[in-house]
Amino acid sequence: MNDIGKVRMTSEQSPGPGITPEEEARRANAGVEAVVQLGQTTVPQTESNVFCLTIIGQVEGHLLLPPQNKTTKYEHVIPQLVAAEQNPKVEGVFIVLNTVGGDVEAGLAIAEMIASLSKPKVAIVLGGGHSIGVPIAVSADYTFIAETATMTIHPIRLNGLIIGVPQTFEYLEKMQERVVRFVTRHSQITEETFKELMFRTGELNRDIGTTVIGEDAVKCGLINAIGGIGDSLRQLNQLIEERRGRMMAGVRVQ
Amino acid sequence: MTLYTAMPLELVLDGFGQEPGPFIDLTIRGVTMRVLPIAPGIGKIERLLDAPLDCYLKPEFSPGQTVSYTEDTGNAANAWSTSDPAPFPA
Repeated sequence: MNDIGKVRMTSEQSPGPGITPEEEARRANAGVEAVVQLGQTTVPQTESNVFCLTIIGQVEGHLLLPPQNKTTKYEHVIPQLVAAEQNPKVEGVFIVLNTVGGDVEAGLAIAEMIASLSKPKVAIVLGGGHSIGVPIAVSADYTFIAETATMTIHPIRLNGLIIGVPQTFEYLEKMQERVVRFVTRHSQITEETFKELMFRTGELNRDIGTTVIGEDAVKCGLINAIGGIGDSLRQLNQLIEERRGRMMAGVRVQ
Repeated sequence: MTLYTAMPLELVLDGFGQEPGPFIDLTIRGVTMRVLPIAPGIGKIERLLDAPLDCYLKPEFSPGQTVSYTEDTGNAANAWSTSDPAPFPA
């Protein structure tokens, strides 16, 4: 058991071209280390130049949500994005969204972080990218939505103890304005269209707002194209190639 | 906290008053993490408290992953140390 160097966890995978026996042994050791030290059976896969970030369930902010919620924790996502930005092996970021929304502060923080990455980033909405998932989706350089995926655009509601004064309404409007500004700045949708979708009545049975499905999201300018994983990765690889080309040409990459 | 979600708040916040945990803090391979014990010697990562930046890119350190922290001498998992000598609360 102690001589873990002799155990081959990835024996079923043939080494790719250019992989030395030392590199192969190192990868095998990493897998065994995860099993021995963490008690986990998932072993590291072949190294990729793309970092995949999944935004699922509720985006959890400053408060821990009850355990029935599947959550994406922003205190983990933020350092992940910093690590992806500074790690030279990561050349692109692929964001997969299937979220029902969540904390405004945390969602906007993640969206701003993604938007400010210097590396190419492509997002895909699968299933749903609702509420605070909308700014996160549009924060990438290029965005895809699955044909059947939906995005719910609705106003922000206040929860908890509310003081019934006009300032409360003004505060709510300011919160909402942050989302509207971010979305209109990072997508092709106009402020007028986005607000029209946000405050439309008669579509959602318990709220005001709109659910846009696949093609509708593209038509209104929120998302760039309809597509799946293959299309998204092809687009990301193309952006990575373009960035490599600019770096080779000595142009400072923004 | 302002929640902007398409899910009904009564579902999202159900059980909000219940105190989460108890959590324990462990240090594994130089990564300090907060763990929720789910069985004797096994915990679910709640979040990383102190870790090298690249650890955040490793899936085995993601929140929700399980870790083994038994100090059984017959188990190789005792190669790492725990910050709490009695990690599993009574």
